[in-house]
Amino acid sequence: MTGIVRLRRRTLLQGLGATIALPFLEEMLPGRAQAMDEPERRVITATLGGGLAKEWQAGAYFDGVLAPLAPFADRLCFVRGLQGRSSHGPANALLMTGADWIKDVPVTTAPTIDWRLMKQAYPERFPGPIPFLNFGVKIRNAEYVLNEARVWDDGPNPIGFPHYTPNALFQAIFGRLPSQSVEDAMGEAQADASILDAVLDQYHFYTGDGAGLSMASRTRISDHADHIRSLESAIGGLDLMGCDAPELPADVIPGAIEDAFPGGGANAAERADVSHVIRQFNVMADLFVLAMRCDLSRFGHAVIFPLAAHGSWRGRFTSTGGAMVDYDALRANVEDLNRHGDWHNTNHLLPRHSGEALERAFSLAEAYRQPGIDMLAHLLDGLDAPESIEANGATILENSIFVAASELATNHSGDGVFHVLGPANGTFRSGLVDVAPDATSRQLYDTVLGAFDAPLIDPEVAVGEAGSIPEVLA
Amino acid sequence: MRRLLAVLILLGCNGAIGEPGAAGAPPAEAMPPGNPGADCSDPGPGNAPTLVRRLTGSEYASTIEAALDVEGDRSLLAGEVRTRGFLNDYGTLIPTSQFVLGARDFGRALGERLLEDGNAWLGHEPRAAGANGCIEGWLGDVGEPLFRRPLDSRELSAFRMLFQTLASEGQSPDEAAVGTLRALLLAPQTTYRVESPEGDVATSFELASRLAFFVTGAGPDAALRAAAEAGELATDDGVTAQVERLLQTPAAARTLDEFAYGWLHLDTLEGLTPTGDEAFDQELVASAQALVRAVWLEDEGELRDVFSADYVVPASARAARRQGVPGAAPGERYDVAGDARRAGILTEPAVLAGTGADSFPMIHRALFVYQDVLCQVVPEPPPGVTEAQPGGPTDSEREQSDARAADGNCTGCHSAFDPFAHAFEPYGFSGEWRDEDDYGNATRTDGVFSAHDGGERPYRTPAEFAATLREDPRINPCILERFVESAWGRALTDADACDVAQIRARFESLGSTYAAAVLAIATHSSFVVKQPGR
Repeated sequence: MTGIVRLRRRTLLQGLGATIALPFLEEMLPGRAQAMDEPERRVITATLGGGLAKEWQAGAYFDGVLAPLAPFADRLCFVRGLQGRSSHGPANALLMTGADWIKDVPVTTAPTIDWRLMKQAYPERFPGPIPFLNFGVKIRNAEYVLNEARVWDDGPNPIGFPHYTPNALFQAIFGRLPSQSVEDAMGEAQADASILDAVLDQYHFYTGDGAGLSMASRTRISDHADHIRSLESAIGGLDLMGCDAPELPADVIPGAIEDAFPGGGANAAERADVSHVIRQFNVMADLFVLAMRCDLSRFGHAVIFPLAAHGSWRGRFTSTGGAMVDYDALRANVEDLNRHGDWHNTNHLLPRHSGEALERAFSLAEAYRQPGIDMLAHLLDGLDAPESIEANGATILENSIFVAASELATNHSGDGVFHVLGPANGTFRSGLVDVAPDATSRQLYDTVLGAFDAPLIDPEVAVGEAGSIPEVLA
Repeated sequence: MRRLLAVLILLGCNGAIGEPGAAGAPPAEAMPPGNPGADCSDPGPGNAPTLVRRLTGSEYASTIEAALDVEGDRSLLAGEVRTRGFLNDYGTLIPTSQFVLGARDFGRALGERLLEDGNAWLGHEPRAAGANGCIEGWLGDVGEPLFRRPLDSRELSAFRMLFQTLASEGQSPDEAAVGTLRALLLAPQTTYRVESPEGDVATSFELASRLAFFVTGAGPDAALRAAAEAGELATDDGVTAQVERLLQTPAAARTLDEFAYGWLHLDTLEGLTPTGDEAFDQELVASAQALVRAVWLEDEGELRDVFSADYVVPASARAARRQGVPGAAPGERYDVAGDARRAGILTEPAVLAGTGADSFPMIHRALFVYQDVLCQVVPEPPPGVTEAQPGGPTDSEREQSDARAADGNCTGCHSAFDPFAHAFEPYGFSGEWRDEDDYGNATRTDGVFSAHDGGERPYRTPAEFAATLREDPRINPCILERFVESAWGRALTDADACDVAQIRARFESLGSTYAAAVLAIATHSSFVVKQPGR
């Protein structure tokens, strides 16, 4: 296959203790290397459910919960003091969109900034066999599930829902389950090829002028066909793209998150094995990074616990920042937990206490937010690893437009919502940036959009405010 | 409609809570459901379902299973997301890789089983049909119930060619038939409700589909397709006859169950497992659904009667114990008339759990009644308002509610809706009765709520509360609105006011029953018109 260099199959996942060791992309994909002097537009976002207290961002930023991000202290732009919105619904509507929440319309009501940025660069169709790759980890949650989805359309249409298990993400990328051999998958794909061709012909009919459908209807049909096409091309394997699928660590297969629960997750009072949950995410993050390195997708989102995720941890966890948490010991001393479980409830604990009790409540909240920060750091590590260096000498993290944010700040409030920006090939400055007291997350989003001449957030659907935050610009 | 109302109320309430002069102001009174006073001289845009709508996973599986008389493995289909409790909201029925993968696997597994069972042709013998021979006859037989209309010549030709291609690739006739069937299952004509952009009103087959999905949650059955083919759906009488027939089918009962599941927030139990036993939870859910079915379908009561039903229908012996009727036989009605603790559907354990799913069950149970039964609008708490309760940490829920009513930051909204759940304080999270709460506080059932006319309505027990609530004229039209949303697959807007008012008038003239709601919606012009561009 001209212009394509096949990669050797290898175990790539850090979950096994091995380093991801892909060859540099310029060696791997020579056809692309020449074009990489100017990095392709790539947008990666990450959202952390729950609240990251404003207090943890004050003072020595990287000394506490945020310590795992210390290696990026002078590489990324940590924005401090942004005003978001209180409570889950409004906060998630605002998160990455800048939109106000409309009650009874639980989906976010405006395109996310990543969609705006991609749409500007690729107005017709997002590049790659996987136009959008959405993955994440959740414990259990029963409400607001729609807010996990990213907005795709100008209407309230999310592009898709996250893949929540390594199996599912693997299948989305490679078109087969990890347990299935490439040969078997190829055999099935061959058998299915004619069927899918015939099906796609039917979809094409409805996206053409002959059927006379409205543009909105055609878009939906076209999107559906895209998913079928993605399936077809993924089944064809990465022969087409020059990347092989890695082998997944056996202990995350089949990998349902419920495996982390001793009773299969049947009881909300059950506590999940924290190390299993983190490992699940890290394996998925590695797969995601691999997809980005192989240019299978340039547009993706990581959900690090959706809002209102329910559940509790068990076991111990040592953060890369040094903190060690024994959840079993912590749990023994927790009195006022509710049915949502500790993970969610520790967001709520703070307002009910003072003095010593308040300190303990903060400790609990820290303990339950810590794994999410470590997961974010793991994703950043992958995007910033030497193996992620692109043709211009910068890593994917450095080249991409990267935005991560938490849903809330202290105690379900929007005061001091955590945000971090990647450098975006020198567009944004690095280090800690304190913003004006009335600066909002929406202003930050407009600043990011404006830096790339992308359409700003629609004032008709957004919180009424104007201005940008020049402090974050390089 | 609610979207605009929410904005208006936010303007009036958001940021005002706790501010001088605004503290204590209740939420603005919402527009009466259906807005019967709306100016309907301008008919406005139609409200037909959008021209292209993906089936829900349940609709997809039900359509295939009914069309082919087989049972598929529904676990292979991706889970769906609920919007306002419902699965069929247009905004969420987007193409996803999960759906595509699930549909592929569903069809693949079904095909493998058909081959194993020697049933590749699904009981339809290949037969001659026109010049293209027997395969097109078979395609017509199998494809029509899937596509919900006869296949046209383009489609017959395309799928015949697929059959021939598969055969030319070395597949046996049985394998080629199954492969062709799999393509039919994945085709947009099966996966989507695709309607022709031609004309201003739905064709008879399109109308049959709308009716079938609305009433039975699946494609039209043979009788409905025959009625469509015979032109019988062109008249109200024809539609009425079909609706009345469909309402007698088991599929209609399942569809009503699904409505109750969403409306009563029963999906919340999926994540919370209030009893600690998922099977038990489902028995409680089934008990609540059975009560709705009994009142609305079997007894043909008014919609509001579900709040004053004086019987329960436990799904199991342990569900009966949780309902407080340990001697009741599963599946049978058990008379609870005179039991002051009962308040119809509101005291079903699954509903108490589903609507009270948070740290503050009194607030959330009250919000259910206020928003989902009375269609009143409550704004989100303004920025800066925390969850800190004005009462003490060991106060009872009722004491906390009273403290909210006395607190200037909270009273504006909480004093308006909290009283709609005061009667249920003794009910624990999973519906168990408690004379004392976890802190040893005695629980209470008395209260006073503000009725539609502004008058105060005192009550002493859940039964009195339910009997008083039932008289609120907002209930029937409010639930009707949810049925309209379910039928149209989207939230209502201001532009719908006239249509909803007209549907409401017909609904009330027919007796305000479930059947009346279905008939009023299905025979209204909004159910038939097309709206290109939607």
